Amino acid sequence: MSQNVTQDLIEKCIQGNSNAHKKLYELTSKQMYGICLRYCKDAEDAKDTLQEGYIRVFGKMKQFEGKGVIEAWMRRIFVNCALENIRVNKFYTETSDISEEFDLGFDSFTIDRISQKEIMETMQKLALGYRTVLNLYAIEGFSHAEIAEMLGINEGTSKSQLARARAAFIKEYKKVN
Amino acid sequence: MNNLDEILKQQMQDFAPDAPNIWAGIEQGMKANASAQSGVAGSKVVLSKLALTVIKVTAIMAIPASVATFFYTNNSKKENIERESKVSELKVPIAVNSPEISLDKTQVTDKPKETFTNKEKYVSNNLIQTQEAYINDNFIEHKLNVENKQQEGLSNRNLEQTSTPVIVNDIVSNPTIPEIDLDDKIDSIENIENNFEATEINKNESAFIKTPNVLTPNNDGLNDRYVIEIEGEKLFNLKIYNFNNELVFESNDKNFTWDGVSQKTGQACNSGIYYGVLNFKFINNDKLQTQMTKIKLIR
Repeated sequence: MSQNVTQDLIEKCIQGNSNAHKKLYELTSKQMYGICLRYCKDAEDAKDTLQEGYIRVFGKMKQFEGKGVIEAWMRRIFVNCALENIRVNKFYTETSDISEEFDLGFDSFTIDRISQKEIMETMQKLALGYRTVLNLYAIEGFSHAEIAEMLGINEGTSKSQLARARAAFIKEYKKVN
Repeated sequence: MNNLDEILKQQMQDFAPDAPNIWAGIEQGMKANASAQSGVAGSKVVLSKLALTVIKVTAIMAIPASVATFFYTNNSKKENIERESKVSELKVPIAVNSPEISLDKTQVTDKPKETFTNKEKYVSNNLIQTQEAYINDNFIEHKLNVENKQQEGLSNRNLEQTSTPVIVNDIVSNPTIPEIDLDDKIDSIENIENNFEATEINKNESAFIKTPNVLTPNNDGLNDRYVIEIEGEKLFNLKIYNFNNELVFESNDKNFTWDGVSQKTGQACNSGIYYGVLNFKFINNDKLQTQMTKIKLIR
């Protein structure tokens, strides 16, 4: 999909060509919608975030200047956009420290095969705080320090939230299967 | 537990479900943004126009007023000294005419001092002349400025010319530029023949490029190393970025192999999505082309 995003298209987008904007949207919307779905609480929220994200991307296009890969650059904007929405909605209220839930004894539990659909279904059931940390750490690959800065929490909180999020994920997954 | 992170990463990094079509909404949002910006800009222009007109009006109003007061005070003095009624009669039309001739207060206030004893015609003529002189002066100044700038430009160019050898030395000492790479120079004679062959291929067939999208460095003989097959190129630069847009590999050699180890840290890269950005030029086409490939690294 990203193979088709050419340098020409990016330059046209920077110039503000609306056809180029539409092309870029068509090429990347699925990928970006995936991000929005992962972070937002429902499909309606994801749709709003997707729209907001694209408007922001096209507005900030001049700042890209060939810094690496357009898709990765865009993804960062969408993640920030989604996080802002979460913050606005004040869903991220769980900032308690390490609790009893920390060690639930799921270490031996391994998942061999799990589809994207199953992951999404399980993620939807998690608390938004858990989901956000899991998304940022496991999938996006941010460090705890980065996550702490992005969410305005302590690094320790980020770590404990992640541990609890993993446990909660496996718990939810086991419930269904 | 880390198993979960790996699974999530592998499964979800390229999660791309069917998106709802919201282009209309985006377009509307863009338009709203654009109009908001232009609206702000427009109001600024309107404001500045208004301000200009206000300034103009006040200037026009102020000039006759100041001139009139000036003449009034001076006239009263003159009348006291010389008691000439003719002079005061003559001054009235000057006050009316002056704003049309000049908007510059300093000129208007300065001029009558010199021409006070002269008659009306001389005064107005002098005003016009001085204004013309003023404009001419400005013009000459402008010309001088332009000439100075040109001279500066010339001197800059001279500087650049004198400093170019230094830059050339820099380039020579930089091994990353493929054209001046010493190894390339040694090979170049041998390469000429190959290149000629390549151009022939280009004429008959088309130059081709093949970029795989998967890398599994597990020594099973399949996709253990990332290679790109390219034929008929004259410039080659590959950069591989990780999922977070950090450069992990770069090469100017088309015969490179990447085994999934980061050039920066020397550590094996984790499995996940990587992006290859390939910049190249074909021999028969001078245009720099870019191709992006998504590489899935599975360990």
